[in-house]
Amino acid sequence: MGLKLNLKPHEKCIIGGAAVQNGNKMASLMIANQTTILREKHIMTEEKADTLAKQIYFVVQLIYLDGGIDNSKQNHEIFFKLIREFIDLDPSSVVLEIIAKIGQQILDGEDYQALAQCRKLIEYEKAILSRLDDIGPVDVNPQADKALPADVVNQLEAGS
Amino acid sequence: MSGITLSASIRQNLLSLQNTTKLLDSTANRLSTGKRVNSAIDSPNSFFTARSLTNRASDLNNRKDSIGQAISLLQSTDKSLSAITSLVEQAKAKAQQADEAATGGVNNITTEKATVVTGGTTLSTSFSANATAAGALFTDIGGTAGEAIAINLNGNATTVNITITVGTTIASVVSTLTALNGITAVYNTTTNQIDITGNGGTDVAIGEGGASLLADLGGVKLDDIAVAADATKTFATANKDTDLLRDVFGVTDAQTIITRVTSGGTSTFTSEDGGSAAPSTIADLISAINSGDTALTATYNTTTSKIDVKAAEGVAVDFSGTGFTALTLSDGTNSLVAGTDVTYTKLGSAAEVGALTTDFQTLLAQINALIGDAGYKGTNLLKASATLDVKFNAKGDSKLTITGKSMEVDTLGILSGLKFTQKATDYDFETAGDITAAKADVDLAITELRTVSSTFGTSLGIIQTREDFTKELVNALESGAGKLVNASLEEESAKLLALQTRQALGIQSLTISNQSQQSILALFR
Repeated sequence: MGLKLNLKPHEKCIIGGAAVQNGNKMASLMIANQTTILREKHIMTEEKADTLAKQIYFVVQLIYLDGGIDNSKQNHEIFFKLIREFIDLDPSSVVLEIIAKIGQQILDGEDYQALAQCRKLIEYEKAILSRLDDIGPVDVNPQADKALPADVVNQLEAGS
Repeated sequence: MSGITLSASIRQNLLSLQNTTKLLDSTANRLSTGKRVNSAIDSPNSFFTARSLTNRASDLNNRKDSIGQAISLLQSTDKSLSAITSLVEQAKAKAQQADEAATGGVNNITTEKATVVTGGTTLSTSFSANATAAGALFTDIGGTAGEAIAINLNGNATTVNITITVGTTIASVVSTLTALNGITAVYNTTTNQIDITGNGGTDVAIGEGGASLLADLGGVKLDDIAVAADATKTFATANKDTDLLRDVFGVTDAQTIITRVTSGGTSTFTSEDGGSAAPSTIADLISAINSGDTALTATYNTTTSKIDVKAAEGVAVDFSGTGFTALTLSDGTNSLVAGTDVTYTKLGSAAEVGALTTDFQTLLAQINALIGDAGYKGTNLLKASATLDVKFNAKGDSKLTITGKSMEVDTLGILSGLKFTQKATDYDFETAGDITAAKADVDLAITELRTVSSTFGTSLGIIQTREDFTKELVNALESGAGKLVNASLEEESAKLLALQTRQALGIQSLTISNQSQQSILALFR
């Protein structure tokens, strides 16, 4: 059961715990046995993990690189802290479904698939955060004297 | 009603009023059912998701339950192993005590056994018909004055010569012969022969000296004939009073065995092989040792064919000797080599050692009983190599196999799984060798128990990690399902605001303590 890995020139990846970078030509590799493989586009560094969903991705990535649930006990606490936080912020059906899948895939040893689900969560988070552009930046000082956005005012008047 | 501008404070009040009203409604509903979403009608999407999440959670709960059984088994096994280890350590203490008390009681003198020679021949002389009485003169029966009969006993260099003179009678020849230890000479008047028999253990060689006197008598020429020792004595039936050290132990002539009790008496024993004095019997050696000091008791053990020398409590004994080669004194550990001295200073009383032996044997029996009881709900990981498959998922392809150990006594009654080398009742601390074996065996058992505990401990750790992970996941999902949000706009806004606030507050650092993976990932900056 081999995995074919085509690397572009200078592309980086992690293969079986080694940080690998390709030379200046296209490379076609065949990984014959089961090992951790992470392509450059899927590698998340700690600095890049600047949102909650990305942090979740980062921790699941660590679990994967450690060799799975049995070897990564030190990361479980952080994992659950982060997903609880996400659930608290947004206990929606979409989020719960994704997080349930992530957890179950980690339990079943399908860490790579769990990473794919984490990417879905990142996408979801991105979509929500981009909608905030419509509302505009929040002022953490609630006493500020600002006009409410128009649609919120409409809701207030309509819903009362 | 557009175009109304509200003041900030009124805006705030209105917002909270809005939320409060909504909250009141949903709270009333929630209180009556305990669930946020009552039916599909309230919110189809949320209801069905909640359902599937509850199903997921219950699937995870089922996995957790079967993992829990395995955990209980491993915890129970671990308790048994601790109890067994404690018993083995007690047994170790008994063996050590026995060693310190030591078996000064029994120092066995082991010896090499002489080869039993076969034979038992009676040599007979024959005389001419003229010799009808013991008083007849030798010269009358053909002997010549001045002739000598050479008698050589036991291959000694010494040869005894009997010189025939004019007045020598048959009887005197017979009595001279008899006076030589190791042979019996009798004048057989029926056959007119002097019957010469080697006593048990004596080789008699009758040689021709000078003229072959006896050979001339009656025409029977006597060559050098070795009369062998009596072959009926074997070691098992050796009689200490009559059987010779030479036959039973191969002791040759003039070997000395000296027993010395420190601050006490000494005995010196010099072996005889019959050449110049009566050959030494086992009893002779024993009485010599016993005569040395009242603290010493020597006995002949017919079961083991050994001479057991016991010292009284507190007595130091040493054995030494000079010049002997066939006799070896040893207590299983130390040996006396010809020409060298060995001092034995073991002390002890048989009663104390006996009690320690009993304790040791009892502990071994208790250990076996504990092994038998180490099971949990029908599975015993310490008996007959049970195995346990712990499934981590419904498919069963994610699992852990735990292999048991066979620790109970084997078909020979020995706790061989724990590296013991004898069955319990065979350990006897009266024997130095058994103390040594017991001490070595308990150390191996302790090491084995540690190894087994450690292996089970690793399995337990893996399983517990999975149980904890599963529990946490279930809790997180259940608390989330309990908070499932209706798609209402106010709460949607609140959610969006919350997310944005968190972003604005900045991302907390994760404080991950996973050095190796972090360093790999850092390479990709």
